[in-house]
Amino acid sequence: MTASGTFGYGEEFNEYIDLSKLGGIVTKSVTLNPRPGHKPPRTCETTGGMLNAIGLANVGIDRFIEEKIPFLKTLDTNVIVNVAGFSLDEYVQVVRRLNDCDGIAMLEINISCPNVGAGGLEFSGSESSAHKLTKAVKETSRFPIIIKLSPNVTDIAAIASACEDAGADALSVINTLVGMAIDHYSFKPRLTNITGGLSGPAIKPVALACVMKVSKRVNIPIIGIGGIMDHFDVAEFFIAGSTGVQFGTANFINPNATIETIDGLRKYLLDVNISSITDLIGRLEI
Amino acid sequence: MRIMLQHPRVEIISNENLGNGLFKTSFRSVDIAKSLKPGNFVHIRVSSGMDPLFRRAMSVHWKENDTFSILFRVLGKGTRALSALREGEFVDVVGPLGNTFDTPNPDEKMIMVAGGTGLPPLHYFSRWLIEEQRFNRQNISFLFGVSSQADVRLVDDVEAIGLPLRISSDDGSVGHKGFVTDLLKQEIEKSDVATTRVCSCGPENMLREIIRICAEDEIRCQVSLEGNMPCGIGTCLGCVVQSSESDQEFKRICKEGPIFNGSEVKL
Repeated sequence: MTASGTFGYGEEFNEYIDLSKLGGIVTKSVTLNPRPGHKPPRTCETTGGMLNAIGLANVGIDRFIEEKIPFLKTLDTNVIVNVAGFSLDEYVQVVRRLNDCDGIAMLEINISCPNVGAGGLEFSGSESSAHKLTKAVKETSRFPIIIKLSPNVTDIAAIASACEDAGADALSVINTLVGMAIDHYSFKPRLTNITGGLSGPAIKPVALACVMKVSKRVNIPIIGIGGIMDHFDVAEFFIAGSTGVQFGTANFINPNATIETIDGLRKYLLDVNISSITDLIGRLEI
Repeated sequence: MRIMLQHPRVEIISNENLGNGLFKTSFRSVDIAKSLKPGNFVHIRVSSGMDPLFRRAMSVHWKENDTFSILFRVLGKGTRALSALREGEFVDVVGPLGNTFDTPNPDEKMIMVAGGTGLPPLHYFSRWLIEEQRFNRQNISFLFGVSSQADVRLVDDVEAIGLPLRISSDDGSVGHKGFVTDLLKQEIEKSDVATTRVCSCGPENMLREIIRICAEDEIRCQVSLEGNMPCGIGTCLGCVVQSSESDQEFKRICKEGPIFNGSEVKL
């Protein structure tokens, strides 16, 4: 799958790759109201990674349904709509609107955007708030629900467990890590938002540890995310306990990364003499 | 139509050190060269490793047959890696990307205003107008601002086109001492504003002033912008510029640009 915010609504990448080869695409977050996003600079390269503070820029649920869903429906892949909000009621309202749409396979609920003031992280910060939100969304949605978790918490496994108890069908692990970059000549932060979400290969070890911890606590599927660049990274996430993966930052560096990985994985599985990738899940030997 | 990305590796045919941190690199790629238009950029993966991680967006300086060139100054690790590439090496290049300049009518006057390494899109556009559109070179005034004599090699390619050229430098070591916008004001005074267009690329402060001057004199003006560009194809929403219509509206430099009408954007 491709990770939210790195693949638009599939339109741009449709010119470059055969989307039907993907397990699914996750759309850019959609919120109840349109959001222009933060003032630039919104992104900044760091060693082995990038910081972004886009600010959940999106067209809002009305235009999303009107303009994006018709195109998404034409795609021969699973469309997972990522939903964000600033209050529990906003999440519920967006999900209710999506219930009337065709062509959606699942919803991914972003309770972990590090770049917006209200909402965002607030919902993934405690077991009780994560539980409450998951329950409300699950009760509203006619689609399976994936909750996207934040690594910016003390105990991600406890939050994961609360989401599972509240009815989550799957978990995406992890969203970006809060970070910042400073211009040492001007003394200013490199992002207008001051801090941003760190992604890319630099966060892969953090993501792997989170996947392993979460997989020990929950029985629902885990979608591993965080710095995955190629088929070896995918294999590591499966070994740590993922049953699926998302590619994010890699799409920017190599728009064909997902497709190349599919071929690479076939060869890797032959090398390690494993017939199906599902046989890799949780195979970590300690 | 899908652009094939399975083997987007292109060969470097030369990498010329122009001095003072300036480099001109030429690539061979039939597919990229045949679709290039003035103002387009290419997205180059400068390292096969993870640092620098991102591609670098480079405006195209010129294209000829199946080759194209870029011109840049070494400023950070991305441009340093680019400068180290040698003839015969292959790099991963996506492109051409972005939009192009509006083509003027044959009887219009063009004023090109370049600042330093903002030269490439204007060099490409000027030469394209003359060589491919049979535009009268006397109808193009090229104004070029550099910091000092040390950057004078940048001017070589513009001189070679043989069009009216005026230079300014910050320290007065070459041409007019002062800003290139001083030259623009003088040029506008000599021009019929109704049939004049200004095209510009360079530092943001310079572009802001050019947009202001052109708005004041009601001259059509297009600027080529740059920004931090992780994806280059419009998906990450990272490289935006504020719209002049609303503080709440942004335009993607890589997708709606990099060429914008001066009236569209607020720098």
